[in-house]
Amino acid sequence: MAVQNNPVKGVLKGELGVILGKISSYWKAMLAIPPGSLVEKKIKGKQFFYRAYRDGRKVRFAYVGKLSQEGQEKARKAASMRMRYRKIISDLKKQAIYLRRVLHERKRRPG
Amino acid sequence: MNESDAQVKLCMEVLRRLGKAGVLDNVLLVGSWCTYFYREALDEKWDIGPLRTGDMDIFVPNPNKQVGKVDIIGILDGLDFISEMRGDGYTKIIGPDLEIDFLVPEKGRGDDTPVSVPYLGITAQSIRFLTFIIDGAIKVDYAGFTICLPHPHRFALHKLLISERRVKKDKALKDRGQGIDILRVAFNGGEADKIKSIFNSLPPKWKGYVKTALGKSDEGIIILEQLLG
Repeated sequence: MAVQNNPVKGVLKGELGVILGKISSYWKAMLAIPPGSLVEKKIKGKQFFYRAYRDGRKVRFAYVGKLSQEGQEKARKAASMRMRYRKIISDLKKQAIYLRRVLHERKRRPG
Repeated sequence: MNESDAQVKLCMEVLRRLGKAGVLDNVLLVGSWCTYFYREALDEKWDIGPLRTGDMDIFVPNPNKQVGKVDIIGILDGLDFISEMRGDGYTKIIGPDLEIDFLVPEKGRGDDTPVSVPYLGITAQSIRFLTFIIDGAIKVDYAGFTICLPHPHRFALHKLLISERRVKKDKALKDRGQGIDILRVAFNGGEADKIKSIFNSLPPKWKGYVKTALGKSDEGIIILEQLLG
């Protein structure tokens, strides 16, 4: 039965479109937050902050500077939001894979 | 609860927070989530089938209302919502299980230009026919908040109206089904006169949309006969 004549398939296809749209939105939101976590370094008795992130096999430190308590909380919250968005994207991708299978858009891998 | 509990809980939490921030004082909940409140919060006769929607539509009758500015994303902090300006210029509040759209009434001849709602810090989509559901709006106290909803009769007729203007067939089918469900319950509940009175107050063109929508299914034809009888 063609999709346009099957309301259930139409609904599922609509749902797939919504999920793909959400993946794209969360992806953009995630990319807007720089990767890595906030680390504190004490240099000559003074406190400085760096953003530690992975670049291939290396861990790199990007200088952030001095941060107020509020700035630290903001940076930590942003890092945790980035992680959260990653998890949401992963969950949404699973839903999209499932819907594609139901709609026969994505075939099961052999074996 | 027939719906996914997580989605219902999220919807209630969103509304509770919007209520606490005073947003619900100036808006109406429209769209399919109304059927949930008709069932759960009103008389039990409004048993109108399960809900399946990831969209919450909030109607802002007066976009330029002079009230204190509200940070929607700030209110929804911790619920994983993000705000996105879509390509067509409308703001969409996106969550993993729920999307919130803001709608405003279309004025004059209408166009596709997004309408700014300064006090909410968003741009909303203007939709035709929405002014029709403001009349007779009802207030419902539920789960710690008070929310304004369209009257079920007007909501049903509005669903039939918009079903005729939908491009997507599955959405049109869903709108028509919801409209017919509510009208059936209302007719069975002895509210025929009230529905007829609202129907008769519609402009001829709108009546035509409703008749065409009802004429597309057997159940709709029965309702249409009751409506015209």
